[in-house]
Amino acid sequence: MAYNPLSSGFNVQDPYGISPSQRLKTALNKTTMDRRNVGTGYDRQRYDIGQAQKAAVPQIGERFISRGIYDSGLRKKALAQQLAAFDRARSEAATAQNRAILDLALQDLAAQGQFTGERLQRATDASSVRAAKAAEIREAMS
Amino acid sequence: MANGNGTRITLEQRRAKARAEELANKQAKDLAANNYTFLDMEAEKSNLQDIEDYFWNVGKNSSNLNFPDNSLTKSINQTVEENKLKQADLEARLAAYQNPSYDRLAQLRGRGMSLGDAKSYLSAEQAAQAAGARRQTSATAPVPSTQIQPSNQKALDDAATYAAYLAAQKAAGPPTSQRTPPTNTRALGGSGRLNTQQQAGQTAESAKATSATAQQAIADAYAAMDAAKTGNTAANYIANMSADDQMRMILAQDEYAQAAAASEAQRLANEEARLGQGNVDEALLAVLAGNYGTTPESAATTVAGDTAGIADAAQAEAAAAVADPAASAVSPPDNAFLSMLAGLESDDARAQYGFDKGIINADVLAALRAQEAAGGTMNINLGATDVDVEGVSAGQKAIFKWTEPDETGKRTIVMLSDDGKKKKDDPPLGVTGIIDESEDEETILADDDPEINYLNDQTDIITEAYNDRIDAIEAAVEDGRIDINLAQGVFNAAKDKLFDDMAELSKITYDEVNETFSFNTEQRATDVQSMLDLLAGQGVEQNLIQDVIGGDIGMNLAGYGEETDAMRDFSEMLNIIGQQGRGEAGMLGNYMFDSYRQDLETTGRNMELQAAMQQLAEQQAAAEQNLQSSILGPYFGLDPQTMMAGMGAGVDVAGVSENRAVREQAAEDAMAMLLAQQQFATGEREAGQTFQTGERTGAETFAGGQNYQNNVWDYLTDQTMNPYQSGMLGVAQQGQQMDTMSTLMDLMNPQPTAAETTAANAQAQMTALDSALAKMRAGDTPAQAPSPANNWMGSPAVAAQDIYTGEEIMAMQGAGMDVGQMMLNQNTAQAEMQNMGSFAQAMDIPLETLMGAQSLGVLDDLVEDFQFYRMGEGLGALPTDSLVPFQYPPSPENPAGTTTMLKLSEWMDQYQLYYPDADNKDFQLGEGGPWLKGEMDPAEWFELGTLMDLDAESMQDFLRSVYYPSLGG
Repeated sequence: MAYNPLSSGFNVQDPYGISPSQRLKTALNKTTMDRRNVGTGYDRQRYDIGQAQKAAVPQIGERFISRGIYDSGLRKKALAQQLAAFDRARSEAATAQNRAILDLALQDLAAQGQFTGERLQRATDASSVRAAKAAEIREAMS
Repeated sequence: MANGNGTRITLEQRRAKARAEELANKQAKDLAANNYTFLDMEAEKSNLQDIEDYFWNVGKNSSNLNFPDNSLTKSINQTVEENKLKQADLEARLAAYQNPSYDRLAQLRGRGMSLGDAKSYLSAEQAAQAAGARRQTSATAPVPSTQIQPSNQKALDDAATYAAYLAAQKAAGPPTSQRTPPTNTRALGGSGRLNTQQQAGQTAESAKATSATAQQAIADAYAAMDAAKTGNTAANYIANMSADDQMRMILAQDEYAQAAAASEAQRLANEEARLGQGNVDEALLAVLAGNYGTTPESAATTVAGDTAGIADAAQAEAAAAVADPAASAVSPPDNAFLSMLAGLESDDARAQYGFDKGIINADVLAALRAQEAAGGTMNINLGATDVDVEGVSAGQKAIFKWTEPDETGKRTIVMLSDDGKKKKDDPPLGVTGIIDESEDEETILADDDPEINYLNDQTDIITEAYNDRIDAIEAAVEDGRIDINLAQGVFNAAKDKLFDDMAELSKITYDEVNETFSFNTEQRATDVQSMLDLLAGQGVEQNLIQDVIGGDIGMNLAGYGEETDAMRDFSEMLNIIGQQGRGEAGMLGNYMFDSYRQDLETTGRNMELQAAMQQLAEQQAAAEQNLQSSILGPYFGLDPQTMMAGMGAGVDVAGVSENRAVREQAAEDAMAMLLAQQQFATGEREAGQTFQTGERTGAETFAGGQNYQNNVWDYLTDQTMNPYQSGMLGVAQQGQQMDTMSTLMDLMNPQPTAAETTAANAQAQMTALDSALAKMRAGDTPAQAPSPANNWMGSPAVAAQDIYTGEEIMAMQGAGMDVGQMMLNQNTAQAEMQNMGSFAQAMDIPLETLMGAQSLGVLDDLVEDFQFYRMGEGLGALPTDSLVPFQYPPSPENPAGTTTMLKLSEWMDQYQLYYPDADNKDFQLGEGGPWLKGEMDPAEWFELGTLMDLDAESMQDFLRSVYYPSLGG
């Protein structure tokens, strides 16, 4: 049997993905773009939280000043709790970004694995055909 | 030996030797270590693959494909060991991942600490970061406390127990699998590492190395405990226990694993060296001799002189041995190979193992079994029988000896002949005839017997031809193996390149994730610190931060850290798992290419068998010719050697000789006849002359006489033969010439003998007959669709020609078949089958039911039933939903089975539901029914049904039960 590359992961109907390596590059470029967008989004989110925190600290002070209890443990506690809430938001945002990064990495790994698998399939087919043919030819010649 | 018998190594033997060589080292090692695993299977199967790997990776720039002989085995084993260590490392990392050591949240939970104790989280996280358990993370200082919790005291105890366990385990050495670890080791992250430790070596070097490691581990553990007690706080406990002590323990484990791996490699090398010297064979010999005491290793010496504890253990072992000397006497030493041998169920199994390993040959195996059969025990050092030398018993003489190492360096145990000489090898398969059993080329037959000499010559030729065929087959198989190996090499090269690329890509991906995570972790720490600074700047006191809101921050930090670590480790594990695909793909390649090799070898084996069978047939023919010629020669007065040569060459020597005699006799007869004719003619002529003289005289006297010419003519006529005589002589001469020509032609161009021609004709006839019978079995269906033109109305002969070839018809007639009648019957049967098929279709019942009814003679009843059930009161007045009996087959819920009346519209649904296979069953008359069990024949069944007074409905069910016996009912 002749070697047929079309049975091993090639697709002539997709000019952007005829070969496994094309598909791998496409997938990696896509995740690279997504990764940059995730980073941009996270930076923006972190900036917003920082701005809100900056605004919140004097506002808390103003509210306690207006009540005449600025120098009280309550203001400190409220301040600390407020900042802890901002910290929670930052933590969740960072975790979310990490999770998105991981998801993209998993996509990369999957694309790499698929590429390797398709190429391995081709190597297997070609080698097994070669082994079978070689034995037959030898047998016929001897 | 003159004919070369017994001096040849067959392909089978060569292959067995190669296999033994290939597998002996590997299997002996793994079996000896009782450690024959999936990995070993891969390593074992991948030896050839590793050759290719070596070639592609190391020798690819070399134009010469050959390896240096002395480096090949070394490189293979090296690669195998490296692969094993690599694989073990990957598995250890996976195990560590699945049993994480840093999951302090879960550990705290497991120790009964409250989930709401967020302050502890903060402290734990800060401590972990301070200790470096969290990667690249800054941290705030741990906050001292003044109390130790009872639950934490339990954790301390666990740590101490685990450290003591580690120390004891390492001090005592392997096998660790026989020891029961403390139940809390899993929580401390130990059990995942223990699998690696179980692969620890068994040598003294291993014990020494691990002993030092164990001492260090003990010291580390106690140092950690001291540190924890000194700090005396939950935070310090976590910091010290989790990040310090436990990390140290993990490091100690790593060290231990590396030491164990090194010692394992050393042990394998030692084992290999011993295998190379044939020591396993010696050991097997010793075991077969029933002597377990001469083995090179001793369990006590492997651990002696190391530590006090080990010495105690050795003493305890020695004491146990003294206490139970019987057990000590029969127990093999701690050599795993010998243990394996001793673990086999019998001496017979051990001997069989030695035979399977190629250490002893079939003769030795048989002799050992004979020893046991004679009531003794198998002892390879003794002969089976007493040897009597000139009336004096010489005792049992040794009947086995070691061979000299063959070209592969392997030695085997072979049997000695009774006079102490090495027994000759068995002849190769198929070599029969005269087998020389003596040592010194003596033949049991007289040398000067020309007949036997000719037979020997013939046998030599046959054997040479056999050997040449085997050479050709072996060459083809070897070439095919080389091709397959090269193909596998290409495959493995491609596979390794692909996985290398994949590993590189995965590493890039993983590094990117790790960098991002590390950056974010640093950012998180910076954010927390700046927030704490901000709070401090706002006048919030440190203790408020810690006591009131520290929990929130700690929870944020710990959650982020745990999740990030989990994600990071997950991606790393995916990378590892992906790389393990390399081994899997290699195994797939091995399976694939091994199947090609097996196919190739099977083909070669079949060809060898054919060659051997051919040789056997040729030798049998030669022996038969020898026998026949020795008997027939004297009868024909011929030299038997000449006669046998004639048989071998296809020349009818006896016939030729007989013809020659006949021809000589014919020539003699013709000559005698000629001479007689001449004699007769002479006599006649003389009489004639006398007569003529008298006549002439008389004529002269009476009529004046004949003239001279007439007298001359008469003389000439009388001197020659008459035409008949002349013709007979010509025929004899021509016949002689033709016989000579025919003989020459026969000599030049041997024709098949009459027997061979007859056999060939019979074979052709048998083939045609087989073909015809096959067509009959196939249902004698002609190629075209049955039609009245060629089946009903056409003559049987025409139909026969449609189905059978002329040769087949002739063969059938030759076999005594009445083809004409058969064709007639067949056409009749086909027509009946068609009619019955149409009828069955019209009745809407299975054809086989109809046929069964006909064969049982109840067709009329069936038709009546059909008319009753299907036609109702009047012909053609088909009721839409008449009631039809239906028998439910026996089932667990309804063991007896019941018969009920169903509406016709429901009947078929129930039928298909309860008799699902009925319509799919291929009908074969006589198949299945109860009579096939030899119980009753169909007629008896029918009689029984009549005796039971079955009604028509039941008869239908009865028929169904007969034809579908598997459905019950």
